[in-house]
Amino acid sequence: MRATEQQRELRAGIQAIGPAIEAGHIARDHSGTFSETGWKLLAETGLFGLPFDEESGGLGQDLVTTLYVLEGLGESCRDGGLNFSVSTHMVSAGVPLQRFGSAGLKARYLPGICAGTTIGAHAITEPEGGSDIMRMRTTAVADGDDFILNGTKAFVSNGPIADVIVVYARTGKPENPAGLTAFLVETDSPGLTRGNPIEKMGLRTSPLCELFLDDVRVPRRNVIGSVGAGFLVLDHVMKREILCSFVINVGEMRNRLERCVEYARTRTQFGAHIGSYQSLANKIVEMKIDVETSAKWIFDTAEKLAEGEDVSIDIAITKLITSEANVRTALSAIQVFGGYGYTAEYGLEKELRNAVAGTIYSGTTEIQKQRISTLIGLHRAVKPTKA
Amino acid sequence: MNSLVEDVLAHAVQRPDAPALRWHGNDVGYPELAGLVERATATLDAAPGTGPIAVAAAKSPETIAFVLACVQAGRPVLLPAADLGAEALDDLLTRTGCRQIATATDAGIALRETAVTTDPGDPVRFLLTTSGSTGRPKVVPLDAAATERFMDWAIAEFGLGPDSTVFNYAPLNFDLCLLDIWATLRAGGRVTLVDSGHAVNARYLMDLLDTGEPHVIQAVPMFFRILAEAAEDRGYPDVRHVVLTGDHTPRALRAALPGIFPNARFHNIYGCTETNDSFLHSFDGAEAAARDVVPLGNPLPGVTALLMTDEGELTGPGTGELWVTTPFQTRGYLGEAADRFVAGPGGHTFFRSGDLVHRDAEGELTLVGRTDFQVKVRGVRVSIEDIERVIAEHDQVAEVGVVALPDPEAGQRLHAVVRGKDARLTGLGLRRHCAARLARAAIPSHIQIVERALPLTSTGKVNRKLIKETLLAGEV
Amino acid sequence: MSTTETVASTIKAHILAEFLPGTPSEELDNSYDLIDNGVVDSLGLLRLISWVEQRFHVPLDEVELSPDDFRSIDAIGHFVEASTRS
Repeated sequence: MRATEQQRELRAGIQAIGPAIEAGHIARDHSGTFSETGWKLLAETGLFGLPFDEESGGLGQDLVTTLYVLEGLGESCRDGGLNFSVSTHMVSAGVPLQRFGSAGLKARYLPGICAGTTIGAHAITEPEGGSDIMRMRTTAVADGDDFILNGTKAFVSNGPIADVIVVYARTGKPENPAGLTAFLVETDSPGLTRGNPIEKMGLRTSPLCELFLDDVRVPRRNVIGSVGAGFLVLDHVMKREILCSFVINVGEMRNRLERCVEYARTRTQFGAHIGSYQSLANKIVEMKIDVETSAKWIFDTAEKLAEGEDVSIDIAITKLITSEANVRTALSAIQVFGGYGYTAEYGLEKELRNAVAGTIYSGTTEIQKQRISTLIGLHRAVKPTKA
Repeated sequence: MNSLVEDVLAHAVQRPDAPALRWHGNDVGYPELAGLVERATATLDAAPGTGPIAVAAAKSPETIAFVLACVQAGRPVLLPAADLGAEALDDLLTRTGCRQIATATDAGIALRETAVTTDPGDPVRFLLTTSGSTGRPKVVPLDAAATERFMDWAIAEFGLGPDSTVFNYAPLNFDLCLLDIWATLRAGGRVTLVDSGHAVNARYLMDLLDTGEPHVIQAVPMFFRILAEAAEDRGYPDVRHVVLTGDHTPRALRAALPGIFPNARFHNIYGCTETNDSFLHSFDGAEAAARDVVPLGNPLPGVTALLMTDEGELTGPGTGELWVTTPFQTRGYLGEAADRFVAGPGGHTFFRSGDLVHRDAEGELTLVGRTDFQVKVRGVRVSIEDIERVIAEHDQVAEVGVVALPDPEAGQRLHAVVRGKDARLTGLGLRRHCAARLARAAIPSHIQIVERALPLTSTGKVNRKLIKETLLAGEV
Repeated sequence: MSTTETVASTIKAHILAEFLPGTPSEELDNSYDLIDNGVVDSLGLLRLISWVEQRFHVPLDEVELSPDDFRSIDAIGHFVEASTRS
């Protein structure tokens, strides 16, 4: 994509404070600590409101601009967990409110989300059933002007720090595409409890927990979209979640590539700088190819999405390519840096651990492949006709 | 015969300090339980009636007391599943002839008249139900004598008595409660009740194990999986018996159990609602993960089991359908064809379990699968025979064959080939017929109407194998 | 044929070809519930919505979206009419 002057300005604003935000990221990863300071610094830039309406406190930018700026965040800030929390915050709560929320709901919650004072999350996956959202067990039953929610949700990113959580629950029969509804739930609602933060391999600075809903009363006005539209809300959100979180990864890959190039140029071995060795140069070239391929897929898909085209297949391919490229480039960087890359001090092993997360959340590589095969019609190999 | 309630009331007199139930962090003593039974009896007396009563209230001490009051009054108790839809519940009430239904209200359990005018079946103690892919549960009546015999066995096998605490995980409508709740109360022990609303909440369950201090735990593998994932290095040394039931417990899960229950003996129970528990295999922690599949073990006292094939009874090694007769079994489904209850050797009525069981050279039995063509569609187990039966119930259907074809997304997808009696039958009409009667996963993704006769096997049944081969070859 | 009828028959032809291959056109009533009767599953619903957007130039980002609008041929027809009227 070719960035406009304004887009470049917005991105430069974030990149200027990147170093201040990431300071201490290796120690925080070690202790699994979310950076409140980093969050506040980012909030002040207005980043969280980038894609949302100006009357709700946002900056009213389009999807492509948002992605371009988020890429800048990834490129300048190596606190991968914080970056992930930023994307989760904007996409999980802000995006569905902006697209499907009633005027009242938007007025009540979007300004806080834009300002970063109301932290957002969403709760989809459940301990039983994994990523099969059509069979979720969490239920919402209408009771007067309220709905009563019951169930357990696993892996809620931002869960421990969230003020509002978009909870997807069943209001109809299992597997019925009109059987899900999205609810905006305040985390201080009676009956809502959160599990302890979950220890994990990567993205350790982005807090994650389980969510327990025990007769939680949610007013009907907090339904996002209409009752039964949860699946459509979720589809809208998931597409943007993949683009936003993985464009940050592209930025992180750029940062990584830059460090490798610099290291290869300066470090010498046997009297020559290591970049002159063909095998190592090839590795870095492949990293460059991975970064640019991922970026092309993300921006191309985002443009198609903004044009209103069907991007179901593109999204699956983008997710697959970018997440795998992220793991590959993280591993290559460790190899380029040799022994140093393997130490925690350089932060490269952390990047590999973070990258693995991307192959799992929002649907594993296997699921993406299955999805693509279904979308291109491989499941309809047998076409019966009336005999 | 009514020793269940007599025994419970006797405990209230003889051991007034003994706890009967642990519920929401408090103990309910036997005298208190007896008081609740008395109140429930007053509710029953205030609305005189006869025949079975549906108890559609969630598990609680009040509900348990209400069931006891019904048993004492000689009224059969229908326990419907909590997630049964309104239509399905009405159908169930009609079939069982329940003219009264008890539900939980803010003021306690209330009894109201139903619209049912049908007559009840035989006087029994409990009317349990089994689920099926049709969503129309079959009713399993259990008489007092059969349940008393079962409780006698359970009390003896697990040494239940005044000092025992038993952990009850299953919802009240499950047959498992005959052991967890009813046998324990008859023996004067204490039942730690899991609130079904929190059944997958690991923290809640661990708190309950800590505070409820059970000695005996019976649950389905899901409970143990939730616990194993969350327990870390927590252990429960007071637990003496861990009873695994309902489904096969995978080896990796079994391996985690001795760490959580260091002093327990483990028991794998095979049974079904129709016959109640039939086989028991007990093992120590050291053996927990010794084998891939837990054998069925030994038949319980009074239980006889046969392996049947098309050629008759299998006496040596091999695989056949398990036929079983137990002292605890039902006399047959209420208002359904009795084709799964058959006369066998010794004048016993055997239940055709539908389970395929293998017997090895040493005589050991292991479960290997189902005879009734169950397949998984999007993770949901559905029975091809049930689906065919539902389709065949349609007025205009002459014959039907349903097959499962491989599918990259759903794992398997269902394809129905149907011949109509006349040209009025349409695929869409039939689809609507299925949607009203089957779980969504059981609705065939393709319903194909044909005019020619379906291929048959040598025994005159629709040849599913041939239909599947033809479909896979793309020739239909 | 009125516009409404043309829209409905276009939708019907698409549903038959995509979701009900082999079903004769006269069998499919315009009020038949495609969602509750399991003709359209979750992925199918997304495909259907996307097709409606393309085929009838519905500005999807600007209209209320609910599965109820895709329950039947009639419902889709009403949705198309309501959201393309300017």
